Order: sequence, then C-alpha cells, then structure tokens
Amino acid sequence: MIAYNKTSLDRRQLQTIIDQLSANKLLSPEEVKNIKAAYPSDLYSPSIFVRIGYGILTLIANGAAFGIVLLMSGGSGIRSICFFMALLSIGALEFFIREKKHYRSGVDDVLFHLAVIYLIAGFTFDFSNDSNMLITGCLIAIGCYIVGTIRYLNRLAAALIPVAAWCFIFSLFRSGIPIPVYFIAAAAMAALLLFFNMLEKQNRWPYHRDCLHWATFASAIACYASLHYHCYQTLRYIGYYGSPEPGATNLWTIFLWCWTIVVPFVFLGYGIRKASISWIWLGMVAVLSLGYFYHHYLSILSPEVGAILVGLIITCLAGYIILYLQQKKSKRFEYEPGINSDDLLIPASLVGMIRIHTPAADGSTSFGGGSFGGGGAGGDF
Amino acid sequence: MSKDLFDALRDRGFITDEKCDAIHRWYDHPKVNLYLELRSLLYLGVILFAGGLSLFIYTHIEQLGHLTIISALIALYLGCLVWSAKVAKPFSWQKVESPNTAYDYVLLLAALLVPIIIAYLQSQFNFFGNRWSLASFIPMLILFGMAYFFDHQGVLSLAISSLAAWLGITIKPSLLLDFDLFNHHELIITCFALGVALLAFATFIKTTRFKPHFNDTYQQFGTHLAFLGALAALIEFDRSWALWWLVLFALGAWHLYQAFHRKNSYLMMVAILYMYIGTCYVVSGKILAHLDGENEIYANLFYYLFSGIGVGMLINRLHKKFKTL
Repeated sequence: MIAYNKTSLDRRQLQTIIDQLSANKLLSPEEVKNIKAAYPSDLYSPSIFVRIGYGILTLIANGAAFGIVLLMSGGSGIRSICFFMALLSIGALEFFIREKKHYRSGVDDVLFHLAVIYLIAGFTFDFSNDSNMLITGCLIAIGCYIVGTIRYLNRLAAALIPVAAWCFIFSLFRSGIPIPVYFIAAAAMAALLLFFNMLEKQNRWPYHRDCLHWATFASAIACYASLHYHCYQTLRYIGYYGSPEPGATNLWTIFLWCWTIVVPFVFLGYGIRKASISWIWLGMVAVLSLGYFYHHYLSILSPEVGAILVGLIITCLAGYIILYLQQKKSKRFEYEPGINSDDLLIPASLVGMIRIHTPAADGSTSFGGGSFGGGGAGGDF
Repeated sequence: MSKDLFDALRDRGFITDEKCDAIHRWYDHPKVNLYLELRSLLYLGVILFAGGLSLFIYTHIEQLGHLTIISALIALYLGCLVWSAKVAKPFSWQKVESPNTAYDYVLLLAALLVPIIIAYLQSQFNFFGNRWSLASFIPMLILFGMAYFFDHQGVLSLAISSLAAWLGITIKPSLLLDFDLFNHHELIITCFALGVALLAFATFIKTTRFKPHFNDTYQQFGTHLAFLGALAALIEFDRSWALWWLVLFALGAWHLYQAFHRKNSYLMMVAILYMYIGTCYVVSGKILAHLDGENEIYANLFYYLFSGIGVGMLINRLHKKFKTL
C-alpha cells in the first residue's frame, strides 16, 4: 500500500529521533555519527532549499511536456491530454520513488499535485455548469488526496482532504447558502478532526502519523472557518450577481463574532493544556488574525493606534512569559535555545529493527573496544 | 516504546547507561520549548510598535506639534540606547553574546527609530537641506556604528539596506520620484558593484579578527545584489549581454565553490537557480527568438523540458557529492 520501503522509513524516523536528541544535547556528535552510520536510510530527502529548487524545475519540465503534447495534438482532445499527463506524472512519481528513492524531495510532491490537477481538469474540462464542475472537482480531489496520503505519505494531500470536503459541502449550495449549512460544515469538520485525531493516537498508522497530524490541523482550521464571520460574509455573496441574500440577524451576527473570537483562544488553551507546540502555533496565528478581522469589520481604533497597542501588548506578554520561564517555575514549558517538535512516534518495527538486525559495519564503528565492526572484538583488541 | 528503543541502542553499544537513563528521563518528563514562538512574538511586537509609531506620526503631525513628536522620538531612542549600553557586555571585536532576550529587541527598536527620526527631521525641519544623500548617509553611519558596537546582526542588516539606499540616491537623485528602478543603467551597475563589494568584504572579514561572524550577513546581501544586478544587466544591456552572461556564470561558479567549501546547500541552490534564469533568458530571448512562428514555440518547449530535467539531474549529482564531503 505504501510506495516506500518500510525499513527505509523506519531508519529515517530513527535518524529524525537521533537529530532531535542531539539538538537537545542528549547525544554527542560521535554517538549520532555511529548510529547514523549503522542504520543509514537510503531515502533521498534534501533540505528545504533544494526541495524548492527541485519543485520549480519539476514544474517547468512538466509544464513544457504538457505544452508539447498539446501543440502536437493541434489543440484537440484536451481531456485525453490531461489524462495522459496525469498518467505520465504518476508514472514519473513511481519511478522517482522506486528507482531514485526520493522521499519529500520536492520532485515527488510537485508530481503528485500536478497529477491531481490534470485529473480534475480532465474530468471537469467540458462541464458547462459551474456548480457541477465544482462538485465533481471536489469529489475527485478528495479521492486523489486520500490515495496520496495513504500511498505517497504526502502531508499536503492529507491537509487538503478536509479542505476539499469543506469546499464540497458549500459547493452543493451555489444559489445561496442557508444558515444550517454553516453548522453542518462545522460539524462535519469537527467529526473529521476527531477521526484524524483518533487515528493519529493509535499506533496502527505509524508511517502516516505526520499526514494525520496535518489533516487534524486542517480539519480544525476548516471547522473554525465554517462559522467565521469573514467566511460567512464572503460565502453569502456566492451565487448572487447583485445584492446578496438579506443581511444577517443580530443574533446570528453576535454568534458568528463570538465563535470568531472565542475559538482561537480555545485552540491556544488546548495547546497549553496538552503542551502541544502545533496547537499553540495554531492558536497564536488564529489569535493574531483576530486583529486583522477586527480592524476590517469593526474598526474603532485607527490602524496606527491599533498597531502600537497590539505591538505593546504582544511585546509585554512575550517578555513576561520569558521571564517566568527563565525562573524555571513551569514543569511543562521551558525557554532554551534548541529544536522543538511534538513528540515523535517510535514505531514498534523500529525497535525490532535495532534488536534483530546487525548494524551495517564501516570503518568508523568499533564495538567492544576492538577494530572490528559489529560482531565483537577484533584481533588487535 | 521509547524505553525499548533506547534500551536496544544501549544493548547494541551505541549509547552508555548514563545517556540512556538521561534520555528516558527526558522522554518521561518532556518539556515543550517555547523559544522560537516567544522570539517570533517579540519580533512581531517590536515591528508592529515601530510601524504603528511611524504611521501615527505621519497622520497626527498637525495635532501633536513637531517639537513634541521629535522630542518624544529622540527620548525613546536615547532611552533604548542608554539601557542597551548599560546592560551590554564589554565591547569586543569577536562575537559578544547578548546579555538577555530583551536586549536584542530594545536594540532593534532603537535601530528602527533611527530612520524614522532622520526622515522626520528632514521632511519637517528640512534638516539637511537639499542634500538628500546626507539624510540617508547619517542613518547608515549610525546603524553601522550600533551594529558593530552592540554586535547585532539584525541592526547590521538595516545598516546594509541603508547603504544600498544611500548609494542609489547619491547616484540617481531622481530615484526618489521614480519607481521604475531597473530602467536606470547606473543603478544596475551600482547594484552589481555593491553586491560584489559586499561579497569581497564578507570574504575579507572572515579572515580578520574584526567581527568575522558578520560575514554571513554581508554574504547574504552581496549574493542577491550581485546576482540581481548581473541578471538585470543581462536583460537591459543589449550590446554586452554575452559579457554579462559570462559574469553571471563566474559569480555562479564562485558561489558553487563557496557552497562546497562551506557545505551550504542554500548557496548551491541560489547559484544554480540564478544561472538557470539567466541562461533561459539568453536561450529564449536571444537564440530561439530568431526562429519563426511555431518552430520558436516548439524549440522553447523542448528547451524547457530538457533543461528542467538536466538541471534537476545536475542538482542531484552535486547534492549527493556535497553530502559525501
């Protein structure tokens, strides 16, 4: 089911754990080097800059290939060309994974998402009805992203599952969205959130944990957006080419504003309670976004006074928290230079791999005090 | 599960008993580190405050009175500066660690206030008369002085930006009214020359004992200014484009050498992408442009297809070689 070799994924996970421990000064560089040399991963995962470069070049080459096929066909049969390009992209993706061992290298990410775009374009190309095109596009996207998550461990695809589902719900009501639909969308996203969170906590999907993490957060954002005042204001214009449907009642507006303001603090509070850095980030960004929406709709203060006040509040708050953490009073949080991430899952197969497999020996590993790598002391011990 | 993993690593002889116990303790009582989050918030807070303050002055000049505003700004600037000088560790030409977290941000606020004060003095009191270049030269000097005295790389970045602004205004005063930057040939040459000078200075200070750790900041600005200048020259200078193409490749080769020397994949990617952009312009705009109609389109598409794959393979090969260094 997974396109990657599981042993390679285990070894890569081990290297990530070792890097985290090293960044927190729990392992020496020598120990890190020995463990990495003994359990090398053959997966090719370059740094973010190289990934961006690969992504840009893949996009250029793929776009040029599409242009050549389109020109050679004389512009006819665009639907077939889109399907052909989708197949070509998936074929190239499988080749890069199997033969070149690319894993989150930029090439695989771009190829997968291009294939999805070609498939959606192929299926919806000659739809005359906008609404049907959107509904079909969303359904195809959901299917593709589920496959991308399960087979290619693509985190962005996982995050786009709830987003596509959210779009699907609203695309069903193109000529005006009744108020209950906002609640249905929020409830559906909350259900997805709980579902992904449950899967993430189970050890049954160890290789998909990153993807499930991303999907959980995307579901949380989509759930928040469903009843966000700005989304309501934007969505109620859909399907109307003049004035939108009658404005919201006072009660409904008050509810939307309460939701818009309260939920970010719920995210932040949950993150602090669970000591989860991802939820804290989500809460922080959502709380900061409130400033923008507040200014956009309910501007009481001028932007400059708002910026000065918010700047002062943020600076003082951050300063106070730093002083508090530096006194080492908190049992769950600290303020020290170093890498931080949510807890890394250790799959059972990883422990098994280390217990069972004899490490790969090289010149730098010498166990038992001898010169011989692996099976005990050498002759010069 | 973490216990099993580290026990297994200990049994294999990779970690000692003491390390294994320390890791178990760390996993049993994990502490979430809020270092990055709190520092991001501090940056955002200081930038919002300084930005809001400058906007506030701009919109409320009439109500507040010039003297009140300028006095308040100078008082705030001096307050930040005096406090920073008071808590700073003794000056050294080597790297000096910051005494506390607030220090970095108070200094950043002071540095952001410098251009605000100078611009205010110039616009309201015509402090420097018609010598606009002086109005950008003074903040540049102050910022460089602050960056070196207090050992602050953020302030150094602001100082280098001021240097670029001063050079631009000095060479082309009409720049103040004109946003079409890259149509000015003098500016393109200045941009390129400043980039090369910054790169040379970065290389030089690395070998000296005068703040060698500032090398990265100079290099960052130098790299992008030099590449952007060379690319703009390649596009703008019709007669000497071949020469500028060679210059672009010479810059790229130097950056690739630096990338391998310093094991820096960022430099490698930047050099390759800038060279690729320049080459694409030459191939599409200079060579294939002579073909007619459909042939030109086909030739371009095939060029982008094969060049995209080819450069991708080159990056792959270089990056793998890079990792074995």
